[in-house]
Amino acid sequence: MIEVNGHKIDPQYYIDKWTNWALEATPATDERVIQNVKNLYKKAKLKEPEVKVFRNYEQFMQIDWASVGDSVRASVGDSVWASVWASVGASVRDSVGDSVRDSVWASVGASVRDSVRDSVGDSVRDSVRDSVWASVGAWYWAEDLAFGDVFVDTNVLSKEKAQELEEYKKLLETQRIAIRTQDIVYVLVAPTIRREDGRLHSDQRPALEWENGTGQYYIDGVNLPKELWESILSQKMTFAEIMKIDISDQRTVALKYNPQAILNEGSTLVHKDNRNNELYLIEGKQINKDLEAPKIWFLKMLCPTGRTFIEGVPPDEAEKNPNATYLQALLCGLTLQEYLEMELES
Amino acid sequence: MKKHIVRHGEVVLKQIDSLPKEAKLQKEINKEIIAHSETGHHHVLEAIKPFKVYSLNGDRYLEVPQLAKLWHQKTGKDVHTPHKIVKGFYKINIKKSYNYFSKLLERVRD
Repeated sequence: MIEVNGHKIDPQYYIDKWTNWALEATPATDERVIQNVKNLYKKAKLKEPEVKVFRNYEQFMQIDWASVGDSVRASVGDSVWASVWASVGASVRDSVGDSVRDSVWASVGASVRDSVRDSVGDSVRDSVRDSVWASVGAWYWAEDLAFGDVFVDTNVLSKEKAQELEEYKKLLETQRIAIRTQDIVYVLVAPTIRREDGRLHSDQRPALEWENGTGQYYIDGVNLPKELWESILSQKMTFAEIMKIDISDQRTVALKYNPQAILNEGSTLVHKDNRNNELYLIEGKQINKDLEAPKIWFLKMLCPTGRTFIEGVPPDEAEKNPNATYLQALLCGLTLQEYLEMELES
Repeated sequence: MKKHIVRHGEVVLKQIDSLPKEAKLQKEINKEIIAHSETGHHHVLEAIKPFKVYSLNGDRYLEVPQLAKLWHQKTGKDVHTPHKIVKGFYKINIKKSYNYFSKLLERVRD
């Protein structure tokens, strides 16, 4: 918690809120994107530019970026940012002083920047290629505005300034990836980004998907070639196939989504209860050496819907109490007593 | 009094006596996805009277003021049956599984 203008605020709330906003593609027509760019330039007192909107990543990459030059960010980007800052930031500084502003920035703004970068920074950079970023600069604007809401919610900003902040947000959310020159603005409509638990993830489509359907595939934040992504999700991989994967993160994900690969290596039923839980143990097999685990414990559960689930069990817990009911309770976040008293299991 | 505990696929709703003191109110709502599924087969809590969703250290909690329904947004086979959720405070547990490569307990996804 940090204190602003007599109000206690939770930085994490704002970090989550703004990170989600930064990563959310905003549907917009070309006309809307163009008008928003022009309005932004007008606010920054810059000459109205020509706006080129790209919805196709490959076409965007065909631009001769080297000829666009590398002075853009300093000359135009700073003018636009100065315009935003003059409106919102100056009010904040006048009201609460630099130290509070800096404190909020450190707690919220910088964390949003880190969070966005952790989530998609490298992926987007890879997609838009280092050469483009190095030549002209392109960035997610959310991080620059990320701390604004704190000052709205703590009554530092007047209603008018809060409204202005919202207007900037509306203008910027349709031009998250934009190369701004004095005469031409190139906008690549931001990819749809699918995340779970803060990580890039989709088992249906590319987790980072451009408008033409191309993109990059991720499971649990791990980047995967499309063919491997499909194999993992088929849930038919053998353990040998999983072990052939060179990258450890990819192996981990492959095993997680193909637990049957381990059971098929030869396992012994240790305990079975009357709730359709079965505890299996694998030891003395090649797989134990491969995983550097002398004992591998798994629960197999027949779900009331008819599906079978296979889930790994922490070996230390299984060693202590090799009981299928106890271990199922543990994975459910319950005590054994709570699990036994649970009447509804469906 | 016996606590109401419901399992619905990878979701476990566990009734608790009260909310943790530091829990922060996130929203008050009539319908909330308790566990998200990319295939659209979400586990959904729905009620006529709005219920409150809180969070603390990555855990989520519920304050249900009157009877609600936990249901599976899915048709056809493999559908979890709907359950009545009685008035009270709840902690939302999502089932976990141990990954022998990463050596970590990880959240189960559906």
